[in-house]
Order: sequence, then structure tokens, then C-alpha cells
Amino acid sequence: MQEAADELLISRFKSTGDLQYLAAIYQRYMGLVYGVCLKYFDEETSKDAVMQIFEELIVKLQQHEVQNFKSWLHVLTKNFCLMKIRSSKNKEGLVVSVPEFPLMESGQNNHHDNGISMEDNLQVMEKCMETLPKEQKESVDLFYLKEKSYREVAEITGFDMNKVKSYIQNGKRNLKNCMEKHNARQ
Amino acid sequence: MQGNNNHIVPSPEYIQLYLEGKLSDREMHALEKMALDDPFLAEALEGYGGKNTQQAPHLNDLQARLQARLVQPREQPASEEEAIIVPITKKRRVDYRWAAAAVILIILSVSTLILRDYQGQEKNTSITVAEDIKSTTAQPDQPADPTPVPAAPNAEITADSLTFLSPSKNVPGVEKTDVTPGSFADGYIKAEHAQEKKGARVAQAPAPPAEIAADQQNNEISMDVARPKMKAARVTDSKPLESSLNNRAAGIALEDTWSTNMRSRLNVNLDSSKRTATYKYSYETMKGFMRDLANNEDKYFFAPGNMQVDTIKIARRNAIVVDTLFATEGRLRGFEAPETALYGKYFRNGVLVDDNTHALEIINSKYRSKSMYYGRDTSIIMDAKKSQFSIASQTNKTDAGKFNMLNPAADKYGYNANNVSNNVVSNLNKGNVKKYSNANNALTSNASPFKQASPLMGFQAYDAYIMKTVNDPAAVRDNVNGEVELSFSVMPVTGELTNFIINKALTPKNDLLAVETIKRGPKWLPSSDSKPTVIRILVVFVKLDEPKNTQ
Repeated sequence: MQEAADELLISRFKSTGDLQYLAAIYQRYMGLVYGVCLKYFDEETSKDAVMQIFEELIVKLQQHEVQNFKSWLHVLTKNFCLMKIRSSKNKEGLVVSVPEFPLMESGQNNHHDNGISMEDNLQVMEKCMETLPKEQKESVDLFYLKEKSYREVAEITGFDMNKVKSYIQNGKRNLKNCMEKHNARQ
Repeated sequence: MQGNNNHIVPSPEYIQLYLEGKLSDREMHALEKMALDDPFLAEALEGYGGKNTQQAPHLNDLQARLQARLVQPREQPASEEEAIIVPITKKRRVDYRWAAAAVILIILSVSTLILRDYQGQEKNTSITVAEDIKSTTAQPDQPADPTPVPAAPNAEITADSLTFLSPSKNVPGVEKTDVTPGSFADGYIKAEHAQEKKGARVAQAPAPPAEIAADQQNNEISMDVARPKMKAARVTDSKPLESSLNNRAAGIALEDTWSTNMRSRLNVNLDSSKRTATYKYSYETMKGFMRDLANNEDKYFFAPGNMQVDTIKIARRNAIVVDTLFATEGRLRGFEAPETALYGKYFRNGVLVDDNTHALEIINSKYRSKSMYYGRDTSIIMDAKKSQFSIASQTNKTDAGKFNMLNPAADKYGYNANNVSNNVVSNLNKGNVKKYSNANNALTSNASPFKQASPLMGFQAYDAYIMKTVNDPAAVRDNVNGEVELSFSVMPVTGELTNFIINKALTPKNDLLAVETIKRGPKWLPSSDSKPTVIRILVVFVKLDEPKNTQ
């Protein structure tokens, strides 16, 4: 049971309405849900939020056809936290615009199936790597190609850890954008 | 493990270790890479990273709350919060109008009532008094009380085929002095649940050698002393495996990709003195400890430290998820035994037995073990009376000293230090008692793909749930310290719980509460062999402070 796939548990839950199935899946991600909540709230509020999200799941899972539970849950969690913040801000008479996150119902990873071959990708990637700023290029190279940890990258390059992190994140994004541009042109 | 890696999620403890910089570079890289591809994980990492405190108690609390939610109607706070969340902007304004209207209505009606009331005051009061009298006198004559719980516990228990045994004779079939194989089997069942959870007082370990028995007494005393602490600690006092591993673990399970980097993490907490020492084992030695257990995918590794070990944790490691299998903090004591005494024998519950489960009186135990490690010196004898596992030595000489856990079913046990003190769950399938009592079968446990009956949510969560429920200030119970020991069967296929038997009663109310809590509690998965499984469980009640200030 513990090993059963998410989809199986979800369909069991949907057909039986038995919360135990739902809880079995939820338990897998509860640590992540809690972690995301911690980003916004203190521990106690986060715990409440985790339980409230579970309640939402009970309702929402029955209504939605969920393909990729994990990413769906992530969006749900984020939305929940933001709504919660917004509601508490509203109470104080403040209106803060909070970006809406649409509820995704399928996985976010749709790339790779646009018919572009691995070989092409590699070539494009090499080109794109050259376009990256020096720091990003160096960091991305060490992290992705040489499989170094952030800490090691920081040691090797002498950059600050936080910098390394953002170089890698930005580098990855720039790389992706660059590659998409290239592929679109082709 | 399987194609869908979707739910391989690093445990919060692992994340914490990462944040504390205690993982190897390779492990860190793996996690970082995972986070880059997984926004959910990345965000959770950020969340954990922003807090300095240990999150394990909170996570345990969450587990318990989730369990509680499964058997209760929705939590109160949840509905309140939802009411806030859903209607935020639009309805707020509307709410005010309605509220104003409502207030006017209330004022109107109240004032009317007051007026009327004032007019007919005398008449009215006499009526209510009469009604009061009526209701109090009527009560004893009404058998169908809508709230049955406190009313007639005995009746309900017997109706559900509960059997009370004499509380004084709490373990049927076990004699303290003369241990026959038959009686040992029973004793072993007892012993088994002593192993599986600590903090549980188990009445009879069969024929304990003198020193162990003496020690047992010590522990009984310390149990009582510890009890108030237990209560305060509850679920939230547990420590996460990985973080405590760093200072206190003696055992750890690893995959093949064990790296020598890990050796610095193998620390042993020494008994009584609480000194901490680090033992460095070579990779080869480590490998010697590794055993395959129930599941071929899981590697187990066990490395006891030198001298007296009072804390051992054994963890299983799958991908990057680590879960505790056993934790015996503060509960173990190492003994020394002559090497030869161990061939073909193994220990259970602090008692050495031979292959036929005859108890052997051999252990001339000393309180110091000069070395406890894999290899020639097989002097691993754990006073495991309160611990959750036994150490075994195998029959043939070359294998002597390799030890293993005897109960593969325990692999779902994830108990940490203090949060386990309340309930004992023993999980013995009748059809398999024989198997376990045979040394070889028990030891080559990967030969039994058999899955024991277990709570759907795992023992840890189950335990947390039981503990929380029976010790809830709102529970209908007598406020006393004590245990209810009971057993029940998990039926094949359906997982239905039946045949509740109280082996050791406490008070009728508490007995009933224990039974009801289990009965209405989380679902059990039946064992894989379509036989009913008898579960024994010790439910510990903790006296609560009179002014209800707990939780």
C-alpha cells in the first residue's frame, strides 16, 4: 500500500471515498506541504494549514481529474497559503495583489516531446552555454556537468553560496529560454 | 524501486540534515539537482531553511493529527478557517448587512421575550423546575441512552465478544520458573511485543537470567519515574532519526553506495556516562554488517559500538529517503558473553534461547563489554527487554556473530525516542510463530516475503494516534496511570478487527476506551497469507493533570 502509485490511491479514494487512501498519498508529500507552508507562516499556522489543505483535497480531488498529483498538490498548497495571507491582510483592510496561480491539472513537464532530437538539443545547448554570463556558465558547468554540490561550486569558484544558487537557477533558466528560442526558429 | 519515482520525496529529516550541512557532497548535489527539477521540493527547502528550529516534533504532531482526522469528523479549526477563506472579498460586505439585520432582529425578539417573560414570570419558572425534576428522575429508567460510551461499558464489551481475563494472571501459559517450549512460545509472543516498542512494560520475559532480571527491576522503577515525562513529551518529543543519528546512533542502514564519508556519522552514545564517542569502521567492516532483510532492495547495516551501548538506531535507506526501523535510545545495555555460547543461539528479549526456543541460562553477563563488533567476538547481547529487536548469532561457526533482526515484520516500525512509550504492538501471525522460533528461518529473513498485518498508515502514525486518543483530556476515562493489554484479530482480506480480548484490565472505562479507540481507529491491512493475525497491544494510560491544561 505504501508503495502503491499515487494514481492508484487516488482512484481508490474516488471510488470508495475512503479517506485512508487519500491520507496514504498525502502522507508522502506532507513534509513538502508543510515545508512550503513554513515559507509563509510559523510552525503552528503551518500545521493548521497542512490539515486544512487535506480537507480541501477531499473536496477538490472529487471534482478534478488530476494527472500529476504531486505538482497539482504543490499548486494547491501555494494557492492555499497565498489565499490565507490575502484573507488575513484583507481583514486588516489592506489589499495586496497576490498573483493567482492557476490550478494545473496535468504535469508541468511537457518539454521533450516536441520532436527535437537529443543530438540537436546538445548542439543548441553548447551554443547557448556560450551566451551565458561567465559566472552562470561556470556554475552551471560545475553543477550539471561535473556534478558538484553548491558547496563545492562555491569552493571552486570562490563565489558566495547564495550567489552560486542563483547563478545556477538563472543559468538554467537562461539556457532553457535560449534553447527554446533556437528550437522555435528551426 | 519502481518506474514512478514521483513519490520519492526526501524526508524532512533528510532535508534538515542537508540544511545543517551534514550530507556528503554527492548527496547534497543529488538533493540540489532534485530541487532544481522539482519546484515543490525547492519551495519546501526554502521553507525549512527559513526556520532554525527542529521540525520533527511538528511533523510527528501532524502525523497524529492526520490519523485523528481519519477517524473523526473534520477538525473544528479547519471548518472555521475555510469559512474565512472562501468568501473573502465579496461576502464580507454582505456579511455586515446581514449582521446588522440580524442584530436588529435579535434586539427585537429579545426585547419581546423579555417583555413577555416579565409578564408571565411566575408561571414560567414553575414550569422549568417541574421539567428538571422530570428529566432527572426519568434518567435511570431509560435504557436507550443516546450516548452509550460512559453508560454501560461492561455490557458493550461483552456484546462484542470481549473476554476479561483475570488481571492478576495477565499472561496465560507462561510460568516464570519452568520454561517449556510450549509455554515459551507464548512467552515469546509476549517478548515479541516488548521488542517492538520500548517504554512498554511487559510482564513476563521468560526465565530471565539473574542479572537481566535484576536489571529489569531497575527498569521498572525508571519506567515509573519516567512516566510523567512521557506525558509531557507525548508525540512531539521524538527526535528525527537523521539528526539524532549524528550524535547517538550506533546503527545505520545503507545502500551499496555506502561511502566512507559516512563514517563520521556513526556515533555511539555510551551508557550512563552519556559520553559520546565516534567509532570509525572501515568500509569492509561495514559491509560485514550489512544484511539483506525482508526486502531485497533494502540493505541493512548494523554496527554496534564498543563498550556499553545504550542507544542504537537502525535505519533503512532507500534512494534518499531514510526511515528509522528501530530506535532504542537509552534502553540498551551491552553484555559480554563467551563467544562459543552464542553459536546456534540467539537472543530474544534479553534472553538467550536455542533453536527450539528453549531458554538458556548461559549469559554470565557483565556490565561492560570490551568489544562489541562483528567478527570473532560475538558478544552482542542486548538487554533488549525494552528494545525493539533482538540480536542473533547464526548456527554455523563462520556466520557466528552476524546478527540480524528477528522480526522482519518490524520493518515498518519507525519509532523514535520518547514518543513510543505508550503502546506496544505485537504483530505475530499465528501461522508464522513457528517460523520465527526457528533460528535459521528467522535469520535468513529474506526468505519470507510474507507481509504482516499492519496499520495502513504505518505503526508510527498508528501509535501516535492511539496515544493521543486515549490520553486526550476530553476522553471518557478514569484518570489513572496504567495499561490495558489487549489483543484482537485482523481478519484476512477485509482487515476487519475482531475478537477483542482484554488480557490485562485497568478500569472498565479505560478498557472500553482502549477497545473503542482501536476498533474505530485507523484501518489495518491484513497479512499477505490470508490468515487472521493476532495483534497484541498495550495501551498505556497516563494520568492527566487535574486542571485540564494539556493541549
